[in-house]
Order: sequence, then C-alpha cells, then structure tokens
Amino acid sequence: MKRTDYPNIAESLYEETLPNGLRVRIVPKKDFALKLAFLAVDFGSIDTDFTQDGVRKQVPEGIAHYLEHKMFDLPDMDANARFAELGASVNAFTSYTMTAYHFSCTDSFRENLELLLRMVTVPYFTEESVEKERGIIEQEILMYEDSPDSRVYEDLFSILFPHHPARVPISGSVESISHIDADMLYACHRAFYTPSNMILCVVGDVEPQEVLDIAQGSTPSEALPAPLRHYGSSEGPGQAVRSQRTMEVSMPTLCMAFRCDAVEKGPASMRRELIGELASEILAGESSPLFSRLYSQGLIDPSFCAGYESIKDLCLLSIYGDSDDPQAVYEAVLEEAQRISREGFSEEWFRRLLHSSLGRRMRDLDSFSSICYRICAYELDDLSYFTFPQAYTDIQPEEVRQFLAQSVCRERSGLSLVHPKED
Amino acid sequence: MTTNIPIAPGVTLRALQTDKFKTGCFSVNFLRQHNEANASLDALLPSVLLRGTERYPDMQQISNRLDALYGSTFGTLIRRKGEVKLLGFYADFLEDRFTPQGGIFSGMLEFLEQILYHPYTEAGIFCEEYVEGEKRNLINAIEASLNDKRFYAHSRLVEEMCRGEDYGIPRLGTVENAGKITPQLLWEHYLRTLELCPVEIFYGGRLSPQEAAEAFRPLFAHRKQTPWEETHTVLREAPAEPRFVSESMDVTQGKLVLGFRTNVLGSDPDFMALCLLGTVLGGGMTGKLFVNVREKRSLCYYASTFYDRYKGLFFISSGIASENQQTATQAILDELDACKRGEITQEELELARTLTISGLRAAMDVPNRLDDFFIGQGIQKGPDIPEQIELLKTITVDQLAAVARKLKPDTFYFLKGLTE
Repeated sequence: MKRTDYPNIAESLYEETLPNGLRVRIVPKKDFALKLAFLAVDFGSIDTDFTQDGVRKQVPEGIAHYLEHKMFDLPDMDANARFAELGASVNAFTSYTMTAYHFSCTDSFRENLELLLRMVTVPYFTEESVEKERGIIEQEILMYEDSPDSRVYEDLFSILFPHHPARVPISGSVESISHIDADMLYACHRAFYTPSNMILCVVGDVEPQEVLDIAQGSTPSEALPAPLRHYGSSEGPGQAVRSQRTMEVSMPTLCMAFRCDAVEKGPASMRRELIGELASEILAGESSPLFSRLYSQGLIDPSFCAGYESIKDLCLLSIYGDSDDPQAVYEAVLEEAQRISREGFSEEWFRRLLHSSLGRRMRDLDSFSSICYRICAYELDDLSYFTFPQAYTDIQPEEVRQFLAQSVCRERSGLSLVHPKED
Repeated sequence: MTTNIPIAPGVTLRALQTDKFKTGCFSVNFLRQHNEANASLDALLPSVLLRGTERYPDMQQISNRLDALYGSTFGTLIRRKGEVKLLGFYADFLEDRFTPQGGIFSGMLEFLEQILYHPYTEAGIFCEEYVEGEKRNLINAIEASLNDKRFYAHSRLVEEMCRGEDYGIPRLGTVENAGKITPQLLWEHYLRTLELCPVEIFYGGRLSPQEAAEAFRPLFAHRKQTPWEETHTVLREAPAEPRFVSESMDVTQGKLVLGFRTNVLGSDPDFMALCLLGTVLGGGMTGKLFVNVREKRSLCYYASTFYDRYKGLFFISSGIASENQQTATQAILDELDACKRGEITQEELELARTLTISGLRAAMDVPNRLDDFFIGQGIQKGPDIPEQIELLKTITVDQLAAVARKLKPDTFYFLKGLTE
C-alpha cells in the first residue's frame, strides 16, 4: 500500500486501488477508540439519465435516495439490526452527487466493515419491501417540505438551474417516487454500485493491510465500467431570477446565489474552492464591512452566512440568512460586490483570512466523518484532500477580486425567499 | 479522567489533558437558578458582551482578532441542566504546536479576559446600540423556535407540562421580558453575575491540569468569597390522569410529544437503567419504537426518546401523519407497557446495551461531548463514563421493567397539520 505522510498537518494516508477498481483510503489515528468507515458511491440525485451497455435510461427523480433506503435490506437479515448487534452506529445520506454509507464503532470493526461492504454490494429488493418504504420516504419528503431552510435552498436551485437535474430536491417528490419499483432499483444498483464507482475511506486506529484484505474479500471481483451520465445544460437563465413562498415561519428567510463559471476537475477546482471561500468572506463574512453595516442596521442577524460550493459543473457563491428586509440585503450585497471590484481590499485582511481558513480546516481534521467525506468528495474530483495546505501558499488577492468582479452581479443572481404567513 | 481544581473562590476548573486533537477547547460557565425573572437577561448578556470590548470595540475587530488566531471560534453558551442555568462562552482553537509561532491559547485567554471584564461601554454602562441590536436578535431567536417544528413541539410540551415550575420557562425567556431590558438593567445583571455566580470551567487540550489552572487563575484572582447564588431543581408528581394539549398549524407532518415524570435523577441508583430503557425504546433503528411503530406499522416517520437526567423527565417524540394521532399514541404507549411488563427480549436488551456502551466509548473521542458531560457532572454528580459502562453491563430486564414503571404520564402534546 502506498503511504504518504503530511507532516504539516500531522496526518498520514494509505492508498490502494483494488483489482476490481475499488479505491481504498485509510487515515490512521492512534489512540482513538472510535473507528469510522465511509463508503461513497459516485451516484447522486442528479444521476437520473445515463447510458449503459449502449442503452440510454431515464429513471425517476429521487431514485438515488430511495435506493439508499433499500440497501439496508439483505436476503438473510436487516443490516440495521446486525450493525446494532455489533455495536456500530450506522447511517447513510444522499446528496446531489454522492450516496454514502457509514458506520462508527469502537469494537468488532472487522465484522462491521464486512457487513457494510456486503450490504452495499448485494442488492435485494422485493416489490413488497419497495412498496412499504414508499410511505416512509413520503413522510421524509413531507418533513423537508415543512422545513423553511430546505425549501429556501431547493427553490433557489430550481430557478438557478432550470435545465439541470439539480433543480429537483434530492429526495424527489411524492409524485416522482410513486413511479419507482424494484426493477428500477436493480438497474441503478447494477449501473452505479460497481466497485470502480465507489471509494472506501476508513479513519481510526486500524491495521491498513487488514482493511485492504477485508475490502478485497467482501466486494465482487468483477466490475462493470460506470455508465455515461447526461445532465442537460448547466446554463442559467441569463438574468436575475427570484422565487418566493409563504410558510409558518417567524421572519423572512432569504437565500441568494450567484452562478459562477465552471472549472475543470483537479487542482484548478481546489484552487477555485479556496478563491470562492475567500471571496465569500470578503464580500459578506463576519469580518467584512458589509456584515458589520447590515448587522448594526438590524438588517441581518447571526444566522447570516456566505459560502462557495460546487456540484460537478454547477458552481455557486451563496448567501443565506434571516432578514426583515431581504430586498435591501440583496441590493446591499450587489453594491458591495461592485465596490470591492473597484477598490479591492487590504492585503493584511486577506492574509488574516487565509490563516483563519487554514486553521479551521486543520481543526476540521479532528472530525472523522468530515475527513471521510472530504477525502471521498475530493477523490471524485481526482484530488487528494490532504494536499489542501498547498493551495494556501500561492493564492493572490487579485484572483479573488477578479472572481468577485466576474461572478457577483445581478445577471448571475438568484434570490429565493420564504415569507411568514400573514395572520 | 478529569482533574477538578478550585482556582479561586467559587471557581472550579475541570481539566482533561489530551494530545489526540488538533483543537483545544474551553468553556467558562456562570451558574444560577433559571427562572422567569432572569431568563431573558441571562440569554442576552453573553451576546452583548461579545459585541465589543475596550481593545476590540466592534464585531469587525473581534472577527479580525479571531481570524488572526487561526480561525479560532469563540461563542456564547446558554445551557440548562434541569433548573440550573449556565451562561458563558466556549472557545475552540488550533493547538499551538500546529502554527509556526504558537501563542494561540494565550491569545484566547487575553480575548476571554477582554470579553469578561472589559466590555465596550458608553457612559459607564453597555452601549444602547449593542443592547438594542442583541435584544432584537434574541426576540427573533425566541420567535424562530416556531421554525423547527420538532423542537417547537417539544418546547410547547415542556411549557404546558411544567407550568409554574422554573423548568417550564423557555431557555431564552419570553419576548415580553426581553423587550423590557435596558442597558442599565443589563449592566446591573452583568455585575451581579460576575460577583455572585459560581463558575465552572472546562479545559480540554495538551496542557496538564496544573498548567491549565495556572493559565486561568489570573483571570479570577480578584474574586472574593461571598454567599453564592443558590441553585436547586424541584421534583413534582405527575397528575392522576395525563393532560392532553393539541394545536393546529399549517404543516404537512404532525408532531406528537409524550411527557412523563420519573423523578429519577442522574445521581440515583436507577439512573443507568433509565438511560438504557431510553435506548431499548427509542435507540436508533433497533429501538422498539422504530421497529414496531415505524417499520412494522408505518405509523410514524421517526420516534425518539429523550431523558433529562437533571430533572427526571422522560419524553417520547414522533413525527406522524395527522390522521394517525390516536393510533400512533396508542402504539407508542403499548410499547412502553410491554416494557413495564418486562416484555423485553434478551436480544433487545443486548442491542441496547451494546449501542449505549459504544456510544459512551465514542463520546470520549469528541471534545464537545466531553465538555457538556463534565460540566454536567459539576451540576449533578453521577457516575463518570467508565463507571457508567460498568453499570450498564449488569442491568437486567427486571431492572428495566422496574424503572419503566416509574414513568408516570403527565402531559401529551400534539401539533396537528391543517392540510393533508
């Protein structure tokens, strides 16, 4: 196994790709009782249109999430119950681009890992069990529909990316999941849950070779190539868009975002992520003049935050918060972006923000689940996460200013609002 | 595990030395009785203190300082343990050895001293702008409890169930009381807090307990012995018949919360049995409620239990379709009754036991969980984590049944959806 030491962050990484294509990543952590294993499948809610064996298939929205629910059934047992017997705490989630299954435990690590790998690689669905799950997932969808935070975000995606599958909520809708049956789940499993389309990451006081042996012994030896995906256009509407709805909330919630140009996979995307993060801080972070001004004016509160994210080709800088006057906040953000584009910002502030960002990422390495998630997410972008300090060494303020000038403007914006009900 | 060191009159440090983490942390907590008169003042004070100090007079200066300390986090804390309120601050910071120059921990202590003792003032008291701004945020936060329906339903149940008790007062107080606070009133409250409240500090990081004590000691060197503010938690009996409260709201999923009194506290012999019962019923995907009410009967989306060891209350909360209210309530109570009759299989017991023990073991690897645990031990001394694990290993079905019979239904609350 290849071992790389990263002395500046005091971490090491073991890497290996099995003959079946499964990528295995191990981060040793001495003296911790906790062990965490994380299996990421490169299959998210946006993967609803793909070509496999020369045949193009379209599947209902929300199927990745549905499949995640059903993977816990094995022919001879309910994996949940077995994990519990083994003392592990197991969970799973589906995002736009990934389905992940993970457990943490202090004992019986081998048995738990074998179970996780078997559970994810052995599909077992019956029409009856698929039917029964439908009610449970419907309830989950309804719960998200009651959540203003989910709603404001999902609405934003629906207007910003009208031609892309990210416009639909991750779990789909009650209507879309009504079309899902066992055959479709089998088809998706066959297409995407192939070892070469998955990454296993383990963090804890484990023996790397043992992990590798378990992975080898518990995954299929033959693997199909992953299918070709079709996403439609990532084009935005080309003009400012907005959506609004009313819900049972105490004050208006706003989420605005700016569509940024796509970057290629690899080092450029890591660099862009940092540029995007710094740009968000400079525009609207807690140490920004805008934050101070709006906060003093009572237009925003501590919930106000800004960040950068990317979902494959979709890149966006977003700002979220509660405000009694969302329109004023929106205009103030646009105005501030123009001012920064013109005047720039101090080098000293920029350096402080770099330190701050680096320090927070270092501290984040205390969280096993965060390490796993990031290693897998970066791996899907062909990047090795632990190289992140590298990106901090040569980034220039001018790049950040240019990025802001180019990305944060009215034509690229979307504004999503949730208003309180009138009494 | 931790070492408790009195470092000044009424100030105790609980220090846990560990070199496992890149993050060091501490929390500083002032203790007093949570009641209607002080709830909003307590909730407001830390936020106003964190608005500005003599050296860092506004939020921008404060953010700049924390950014320069490698993105350290410094936040406000308003916690309740039963009827005891803990107000203060927590800090998470990069351990010195990961930076070229170090100086982060000492920088955080300097910052803490500024926040505690050198607030930004005008005319000798808090400035109006900061007080009014944070009042508005506090009022918004109180009103925003409406947004998270699960949390809201729980809060409403507690309010109904513990009316007339300090426990029934919302953690952040009420909009009405927050509205009455003036800079002068808050200033007086601040001085009383510094002078009269006992202080509990938790430190987790690379320093030895003695080194940590020496680091914190100068911050409290001026404290004088005084009759400290007293705290207590009142226990009550459940009514003969449970009360039922229902409200409607425009939500798609109904929220059901059942409240019970057990009067079993964290310091009682039954404590661990009740914790384990909570897992037997509501523990993840193997609890009786999940398996029988959700999986077998599809009556709910989630069903979980929460046991407040500081007040001896036990809650079961569930998300259900509104038309299923009666069936779901009965299904949940049936599961509880089965426990009372000792109908807990050996398998269910062992599952819950393993889950609880491994949860406790894992907690030792998460700094924030340790802070809350050890600070809680200062409020109500119970078994420490290794002792809890040993106790859990011996609990039998008979003990679980006996403690289940101590659950006396008090109040049931249902948040009903208007639309289907």
